Amino acid sequence: MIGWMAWRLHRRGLIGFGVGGFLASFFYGATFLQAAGTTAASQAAFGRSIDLAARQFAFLVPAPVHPETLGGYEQYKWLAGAAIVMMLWAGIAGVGVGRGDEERGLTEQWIAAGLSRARLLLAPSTAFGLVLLTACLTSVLGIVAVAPSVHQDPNLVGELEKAASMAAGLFAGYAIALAVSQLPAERHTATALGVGVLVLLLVVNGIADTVDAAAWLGVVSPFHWMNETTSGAPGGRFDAGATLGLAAASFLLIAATIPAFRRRDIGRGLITSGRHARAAVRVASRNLALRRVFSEGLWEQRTGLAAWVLGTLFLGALMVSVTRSMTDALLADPQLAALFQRAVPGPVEAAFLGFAWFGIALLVLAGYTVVQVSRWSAQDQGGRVELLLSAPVSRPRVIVERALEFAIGSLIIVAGAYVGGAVSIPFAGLDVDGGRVLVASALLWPFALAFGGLGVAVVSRWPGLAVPFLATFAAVEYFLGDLAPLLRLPAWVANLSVFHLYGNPVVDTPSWTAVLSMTLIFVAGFALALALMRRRDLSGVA
Amino acid sequence: MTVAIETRGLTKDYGGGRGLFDLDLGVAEGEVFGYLGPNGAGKSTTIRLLMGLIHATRGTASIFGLDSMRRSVEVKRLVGYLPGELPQFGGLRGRDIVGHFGALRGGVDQRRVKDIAERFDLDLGLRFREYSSGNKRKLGILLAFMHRPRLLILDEPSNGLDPLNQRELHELVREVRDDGATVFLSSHVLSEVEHVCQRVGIIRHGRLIEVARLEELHRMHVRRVEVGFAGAAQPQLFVGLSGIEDLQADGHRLTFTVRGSFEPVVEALAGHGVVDLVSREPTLEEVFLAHYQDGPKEAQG
Repeated sequence: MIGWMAWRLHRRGLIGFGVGGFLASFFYGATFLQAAGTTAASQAAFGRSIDLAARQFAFLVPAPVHPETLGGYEQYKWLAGAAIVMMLWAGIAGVGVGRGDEERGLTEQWIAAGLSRARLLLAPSTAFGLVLLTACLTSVLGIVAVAPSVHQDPNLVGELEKAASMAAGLFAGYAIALAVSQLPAERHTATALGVGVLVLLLVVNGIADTVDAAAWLGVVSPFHWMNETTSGAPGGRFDAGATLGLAAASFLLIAATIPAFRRRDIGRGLITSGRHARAAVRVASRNLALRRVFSEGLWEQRTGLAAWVLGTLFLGALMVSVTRSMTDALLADPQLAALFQRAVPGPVEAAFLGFAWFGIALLVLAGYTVVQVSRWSAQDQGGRVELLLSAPVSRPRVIVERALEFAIGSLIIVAGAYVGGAVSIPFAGLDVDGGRVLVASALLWPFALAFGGLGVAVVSRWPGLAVPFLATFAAVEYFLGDLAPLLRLPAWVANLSVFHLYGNPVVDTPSWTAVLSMTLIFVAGFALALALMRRRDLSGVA
Repeated sequence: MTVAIETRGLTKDYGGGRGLFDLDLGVAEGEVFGYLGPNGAGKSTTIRLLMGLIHATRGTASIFGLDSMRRSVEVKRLVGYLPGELPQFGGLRGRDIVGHFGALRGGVDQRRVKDIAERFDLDLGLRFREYSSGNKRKLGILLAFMHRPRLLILDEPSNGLDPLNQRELHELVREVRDDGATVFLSSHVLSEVEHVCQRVGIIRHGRLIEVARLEELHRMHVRRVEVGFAGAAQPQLFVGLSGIEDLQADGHRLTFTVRGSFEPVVEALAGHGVVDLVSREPTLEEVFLAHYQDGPKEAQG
């Protein structure tokens, strides 16, 4: 029963993080020798370069342990980042169990059918715990599987211990989000609060890891206890106490959530605010933004869009601010400098900025595209497109307005990325051409449009498949772009990746063929969407 | 007289016997047409074909002479549509949704919006997620009626409405009919259709089996009656009475089915110590079973 529930509720996450995790760790491992070299000296230099880079990101991911080995390299390069992404997944799942089923009216039906509130929390929580454990185990098994082919120790026990520690930490994140989701009245507030608390705990852990005087703060964060286990690397340690403590704390927190769930009304939160009496409104809004489909879409997602823009702007400023210290450290070690220049040629500060900051900006825009496609998919499956078409709105107009909405939304984020980077460059004293930064920022737009074109084509015909397809496609494209140079794949294979097509325009002359290709993908995607939308039958409320 | 809705051989075949088959139907302008059928009969499929939301396997559908799929935008200018269930609008307020759909139709008649919102006691200041199912239905009614369309296509419009609001809806339908609008209304409740419709089409298993004026429908009006007597039940009172079927006596109680007029039943019971009488409307499926037990006959347009 629990196993069925786990599969039924979380099959997409399990496939994404489990199978995706296995493949990612396997392919990262497969390229280890290309990245680190085959001699002990080159691997030691490689390890030093990672140690050096890691210092700049200590607030985000824990310090690497023996990064010159496969286990240490994967623990830092893949598992540390994956744990953060999976923590967001755990948080969203926690809120989903806490409030999502309730919003869909399922909780009411289950309670009416005689299920206890305790069972409504405990059964899906146990199921998600199993899902997490499976996803973490498959993620580390990719490392074990690839180790012999790169002449490294498989370290099976250490990797399993690392997986157990990750699963316990992520389960704690799930329990925290589940508990927090009981507080507010509405689901979207619960989601913001649940995920927000986890992000806060990540920041707290970062502060504790980087500021000695605040080291004590780390004890409140599951990230801190999860990172205590470093057994994925040879010579690392398994903190059994921290792992068991995280698991026990998670179950205690879930148990403590049960009385809170019992205490509150279905559809309301523990914290309720009195509604002020006011006269009923009987007139339609005169908001100009509501006059067009695309402007209504942008206006409806204004808060989310503002968060994307501000987040991108902040990230850009942050990346620019760490560039000088990173490049100074790189240049101080001739071996490292040579290694970096081989991987990312060009003036070192500009090359680093293009590689690090614009690489992240590409991921941000790919993420925005997936979110936007998810929104269209929900609108389509929920009957909103049907209602829209009951007004004098043609099917092609729906597609054109979607294109417009996406183009404007992504352009605003690109503008945020440019402002965040460009404004900070003079303060950071970087030797980077402002014009190049402008071009690199502007080229983020066709990149986003290419993804958007693919997304809208799929969502116009198969709305239910659009999000998993695009998320998988983005992941494959990213890894293809990342691994193609290491695997020395032919140029045409690398060019299949939109990430690779973007290149590094901060140092290289932009490839107008690549820009044209991305624009063509966008145009072809939307043209295909027009054709597909004309032919399909629309579903009503699912 | 102008034809508001016309279908010829309209078919949507989902396979496995599901869908809509060979629908030939005409609804005149100014008419209120009830489209009756049990759940899954093909009512919503018909409506979605008329609205150009799904493609016909074969046959045609036109609204005021315009092909409902090829000239979809022109058709929608003339139509007000209430779907079976409103989609989610999340955090949008009622007034935003009305403003948006009003703008897509070229502008909002605020007086009309105010009138309908007041009649249904609908607060447009609330967020969509705060609306009860009844209020969501009222919002859907407002969206369908607010632009005074020539044709209203309403999919089970009174679902989720309380009796007072159902009465208000029926009144609204009668008003738009008096103003010359055409109404195509689907339902699975016979009595609702009786309140407002002039003509009724009955669909079952995807096929139209009857089209009749309301008065003709009364010949298939069936009631299930249960009578309590002070003494022993007296089934002999109904022997030979026309329209009485399925007579069953049990102690002091007598149950039977009445088809058509109720008058002979009342006359037969008078003066025989009746202490209790319950008459209930049978479900549509029961009506079908009673009326079409010899197999459905095809409608003649």
